[in-house]
Amino acid sequence: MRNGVGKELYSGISCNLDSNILSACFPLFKGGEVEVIEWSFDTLFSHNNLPDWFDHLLTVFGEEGRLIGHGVYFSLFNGTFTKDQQEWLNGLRVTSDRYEFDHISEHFGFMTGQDFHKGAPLNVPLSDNSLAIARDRISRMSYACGKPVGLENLAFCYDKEGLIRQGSFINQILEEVNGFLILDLHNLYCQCMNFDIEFSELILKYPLDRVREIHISGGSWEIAQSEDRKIRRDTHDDAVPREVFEYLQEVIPKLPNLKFVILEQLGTGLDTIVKQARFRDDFETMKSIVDHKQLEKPLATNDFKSKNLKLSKHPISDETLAKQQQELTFILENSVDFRSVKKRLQNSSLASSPWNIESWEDSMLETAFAIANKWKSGF
Amino acid sequence: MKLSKSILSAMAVGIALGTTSCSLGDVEEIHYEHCALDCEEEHTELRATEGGGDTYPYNCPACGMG
Repeated sequence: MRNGVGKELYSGISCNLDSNILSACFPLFKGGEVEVIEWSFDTLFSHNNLPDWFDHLLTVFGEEGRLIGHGVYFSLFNGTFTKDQQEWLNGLRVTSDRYEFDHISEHFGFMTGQDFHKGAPLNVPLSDNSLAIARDRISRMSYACGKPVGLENLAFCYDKEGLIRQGSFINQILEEVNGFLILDLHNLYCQCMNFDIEFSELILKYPLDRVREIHISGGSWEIAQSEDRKIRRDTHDDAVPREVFEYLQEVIPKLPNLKFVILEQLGTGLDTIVKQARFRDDFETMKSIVDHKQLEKPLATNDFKSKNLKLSKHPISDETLAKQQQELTFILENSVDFRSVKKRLQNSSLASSPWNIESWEDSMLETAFAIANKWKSGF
Repeated sequence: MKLSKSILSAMAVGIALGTTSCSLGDVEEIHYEHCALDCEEEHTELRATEGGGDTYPYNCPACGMG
């Protein structure tokens, strides 16, 4: 409480139908410590019915304004607007009618993968064309759900220029719908480690007044053999690094419109009692910081409701961008090694194009190759 | 946020069984044979098992695709 103003920050978890996650979180639910849950509503695409108890859980949190939705598969920057994307929007509309989401979000980037539910998010050229597509798609999201909509910053970048420009580019997209930013602090940690940049410098590149939600999580290190260096990846399969908690403490006082702080981890990283206990320890640490820093947060200035939504009759498309995305996906998913990826890219339509592949760092291209292959068969 | 006993009990059963057939009416399943009929004690500690994360047919990764 602050001068009669109610609680403004809520700590929660990414809560999906994963037995390990739910087992890890159950003691937190039982203790009444979970203040908000974030549900990835589009990951149950092959199952029509939720268990009654999970449906009830979503309903109860929704009725209290403590349910937020986080999409995975919309692929905001897809060059063409696909039938799958329209079905995703139709599903979003139905789900938003069923549950009281406080807001809905998606990821920055386009999804690799030949199939709608396979692949992983990667960057696109930060061009006028891709900006127009992203604005069109996020407007359709806003129209479909009728709630505030937002985007999460992406951990992966091909080069430092893309890293520096991502924040302002996201802002240009969000301006279209008065949208909000999910600031994923582990994604920023990855970027700080991979591009040798200070967190305090990097966050200034982002529209901090648009941050309504923070994600924290853990990840892993991998060796990029092309440059013999360690690369930090956003794999969500380990505990939260100390640095990410320090980022959380540092950034909350800079975020007037922050409302939710969410801890994320994959169920595969919670397969033992010890790991589940560590997850709960991470939650307690996060919640303690959030509660402590609450008083330092400036008063909110934006409700993120979309005003004057403009929706063109036909979705914007860019056939060249779509073809290049398909070509990049094919090369990443069907090459035998990094050398082959690089050679094929140099001979592709992405060469000497707005993708600027000539400036991509070898270690990051190798990482893109690893990410695409990890997720090309889905989960 | 405080959750009702009935939701917590249904969650416990649902997670432990790892099936989609749970409902809010399954509360009695968490009691033991030696419990009294009106037992109000919560036997809801979950069994976290090694590698037991795939009991749901749709365990999902959500984010973390990095």
